[in-house]
Amino acid sequence: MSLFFNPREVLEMAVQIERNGKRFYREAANTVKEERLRGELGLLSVMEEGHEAMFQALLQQLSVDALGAEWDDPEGEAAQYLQTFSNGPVFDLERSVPPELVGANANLDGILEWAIGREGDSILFYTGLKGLIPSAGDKAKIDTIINEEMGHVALLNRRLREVAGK
Amino acid sequence: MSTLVYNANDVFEIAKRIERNGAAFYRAAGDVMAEGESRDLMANLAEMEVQHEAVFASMQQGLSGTETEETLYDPHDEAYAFLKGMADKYVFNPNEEPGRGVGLGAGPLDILQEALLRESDSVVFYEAIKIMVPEKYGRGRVDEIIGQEMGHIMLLNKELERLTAKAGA
Repeated sequence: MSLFFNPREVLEMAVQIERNGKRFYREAANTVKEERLRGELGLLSVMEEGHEAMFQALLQQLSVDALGAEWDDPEGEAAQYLQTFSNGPVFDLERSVPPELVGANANLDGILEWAIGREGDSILFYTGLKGLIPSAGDKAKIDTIINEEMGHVALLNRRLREVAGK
Repeated sequence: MSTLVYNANDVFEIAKRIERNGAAFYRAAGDVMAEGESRDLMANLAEMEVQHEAVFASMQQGLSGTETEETLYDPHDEAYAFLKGMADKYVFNPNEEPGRGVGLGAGPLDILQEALLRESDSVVFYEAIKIMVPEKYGRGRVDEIIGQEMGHIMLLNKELERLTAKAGA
């Protein structure tokens, strides 16, 4: 099995993760009727856009100062781990939002559970990505994003419990 | 829902419970696996989870009297809220028993999928713990465990790919 180990590809995956998340939350917000949840989903979409911008900035930095040349993974473990996400069942980057989650009859439980799953997947991927990044400052940026994604999970879990309790 | 306000002792108790559940899951899973290679993998992973539990126990024993009760600090409250939600799911939900995913009729592929979910949840859970656990309580050791759990994900994924290819052959 050939492994990718191209910092550009890894960061482009991160950008795509956030872009998918942004789109999902925007569509989900348009579907949900309850105002508070609509607002929260809209806010989550905005936050994912912010994360997308951060990863885009890292990509641009890659072009400018050959950041990629410093990425080091002598045992190939980080590459193997991230490879798991590119073509394994743990995380399917190509998986599009199930239409039943954002259609007219969208199920609220389904939306929240799907979102929680995707946020968890993001954290998993960024945990692996962080290990590759040499700069402490850039690692800290990823840590901030991981922290924010955890906040998203906590919020979504609270809403899911409320919905289940109704 | 739990009402705990987490201190370091609580967090390590939850982590130990997760590892204990994980070891029990892998032992039960080993009984289901037909192939020697799969059975060996389950046994190895069970043993590793036992070692992880011992690490968390050791970190817990390292806490002093006041540190045991000291509430952990999370400046943004995000990791704390996340941790609480996960703990409610894994520790306080009586339906989330170790044998989940190894029920009647569960085959090797089902088990591996379930194992991947569990290991994935462990990684994100321990990332949250790491945010809240100060260096003096052993944050570096949590990092080591995270690395090992990530290794489990790779092993399980490889095994899943192997068995899936074999089933399709």
